[in-house]
Amino acid sequence: MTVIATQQLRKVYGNGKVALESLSLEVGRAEVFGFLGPNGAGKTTAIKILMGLVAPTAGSVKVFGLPPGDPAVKGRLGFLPEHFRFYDWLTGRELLDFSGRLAGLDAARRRRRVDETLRLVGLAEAADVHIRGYSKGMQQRIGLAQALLHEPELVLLDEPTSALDPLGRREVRDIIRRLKGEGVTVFLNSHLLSEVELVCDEVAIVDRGRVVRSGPLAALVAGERELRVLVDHVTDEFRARLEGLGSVLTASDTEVTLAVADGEAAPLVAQAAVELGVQLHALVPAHRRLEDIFVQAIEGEAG
Amino acid sequence: MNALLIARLTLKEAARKRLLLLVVIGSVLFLTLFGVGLILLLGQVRAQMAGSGAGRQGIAVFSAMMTLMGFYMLNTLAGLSAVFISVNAISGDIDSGTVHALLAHPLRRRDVILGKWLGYASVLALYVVVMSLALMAIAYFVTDFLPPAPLAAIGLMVLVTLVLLSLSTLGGTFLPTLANGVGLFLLYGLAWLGGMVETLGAALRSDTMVHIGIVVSLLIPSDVLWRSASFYLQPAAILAMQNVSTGGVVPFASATPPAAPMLIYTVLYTLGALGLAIAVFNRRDL
Ligand SMILES: Nc1ncnc2c1ncn2[C@@H]1O[C@H](COP(=O)(O)OP(=O)(O)OP(=O)(O)O)[C@@H](O)[C@H]1O
Ligand SMILES: [Mg+2]
Repeated sequence: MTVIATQQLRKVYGNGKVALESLSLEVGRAEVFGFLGPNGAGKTTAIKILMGLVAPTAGSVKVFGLPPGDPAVKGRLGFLPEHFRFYDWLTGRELLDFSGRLAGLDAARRRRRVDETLRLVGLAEAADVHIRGYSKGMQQRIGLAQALLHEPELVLLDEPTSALDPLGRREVRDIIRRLKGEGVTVFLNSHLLSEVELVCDEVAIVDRGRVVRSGPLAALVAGERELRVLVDHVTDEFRARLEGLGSVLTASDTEVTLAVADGEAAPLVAQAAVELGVQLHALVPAHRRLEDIFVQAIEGEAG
Repeated sequence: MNALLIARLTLKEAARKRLLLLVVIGSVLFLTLFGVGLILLLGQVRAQMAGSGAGRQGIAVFSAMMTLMGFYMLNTLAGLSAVFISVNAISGDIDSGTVHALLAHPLRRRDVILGKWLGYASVLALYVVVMSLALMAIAYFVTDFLPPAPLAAIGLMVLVTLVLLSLSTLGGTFLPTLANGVGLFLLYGLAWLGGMVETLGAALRSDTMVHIGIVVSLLIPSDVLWRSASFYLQPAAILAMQNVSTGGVVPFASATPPAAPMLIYTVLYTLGALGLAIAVFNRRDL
């Protein structure tokens, strides 16, 4: 079942800035969807459109099959904005209680969920402190708490760990995994690739408002392999042969890193070395990390 | 329903923030000054008028004038408070990003506007009513004077604050806080000036000046509403004094009751500004 569907979404801000060129996405139920991209790629713009905060210039967008911003839609989702801010004269507990009221939770469920979520985000101790007195990380935590309070079916998180310490990041990771286990759909904006790699099923990489790579994380990472070739000297001839076998990622006098499609390349590289009289010191295959794919996708675009 | 939750939060905010404490201290100060000033002045007037035949009548007129002046100051105070407490109600939340978190909940944008408006409107109405009653009590205690129709006057003064509240809400949906504040004070000043021009124009029999005054009143009806309120605060003796044919004029008060079309206009104006605020807020990117 599709939870989020956008087609050729375009956003041009009032100042003429094109934030999204043409964004087509589909996010299915219980997926953890990683939305990646460099600064200014349009991630926050996309999430704001999904929340009905920003109107697209063109294209269509549906959340739960309805236009975004509809209260019926918003009742079923939770949102952590990029910079979470709320009335800072409230305490953490009061904020969550107010959130619960807006979400229509009855008094008993509200009390239970407020305590549960405070504990979940590690703010049980600071529950009765004014948000004014919260650190940046604590603000982000209470923001996450209000997004999860009403047990939504869909959670949209805009860089949820940007202000968190390593322990906090790990906790958020665990929370996302747990949500996935409960069948909750998660839309995660991030540029922390190692993090995305650990929790996401599906990934879309955006750059300058367009999706440049997308697909299931496993396929994206598996489809790409890397081959490190260490030799005594990289001759022009040898390099030319390597370029025929895959794309050269890095190259020095004695080392070449190749991106290759499959495992077939290694013996061919060895064969080439023998034929051209190059001394082969090592041939190291490796899975490519998401970071490499990201960098390549963005640079490929730029180039 | 959700608008009421926002209204409740707004009331809570008003109660909890230092701002309200400031308003309360300022208001108590104002009432004290009014009371003390009234006692002192009345003492002087009594001393001067003692012996003269018109003494009793003169003191009555003086008391009524002083009370009217007290209400005039209260009306100004309430108007400024209306602008002061609401000027960043919307723009502040937009700037801080609080709207993002707020609108993530199942409510419509108009709930935010209506809720905040309702919250502030209740605070302002309560303020005007309590302060008016306190002012009247002090004046009555010191001078024995009671305005002839205080309820109508209080109602109109509440309407003054609502006009300004709606305008401030509207401004907040598309202007930064500072620009909104400056704009509102300019309009408020313009209204005051327009009122003066109209009153003087009537006294000087200048149609042009009266017309200018009316146009300003249409643009921002806060002062014309006050002048309508003032009618209900003046006893017959003062109204009689304010006779154009004798050239007598109280510059900030009106000797004629408000016209029904004007009242209808201001109510529509207030609701219109609020509706426009919702329309603008609905359309903008946040
Ligand atoms: N309100 C706005 N008005 C004008 N331009 C904007 C506005 N918001 C964003 N932009 C522009 O749109 C582009 C995309 O911005 P966006 O905030 O969506 O990027 P992002 O991917 O979230 O970046 P980051 O990783 O830094 O958070 C940027 O070039 C930005 O300058
Ligand atoms: Mg962003």
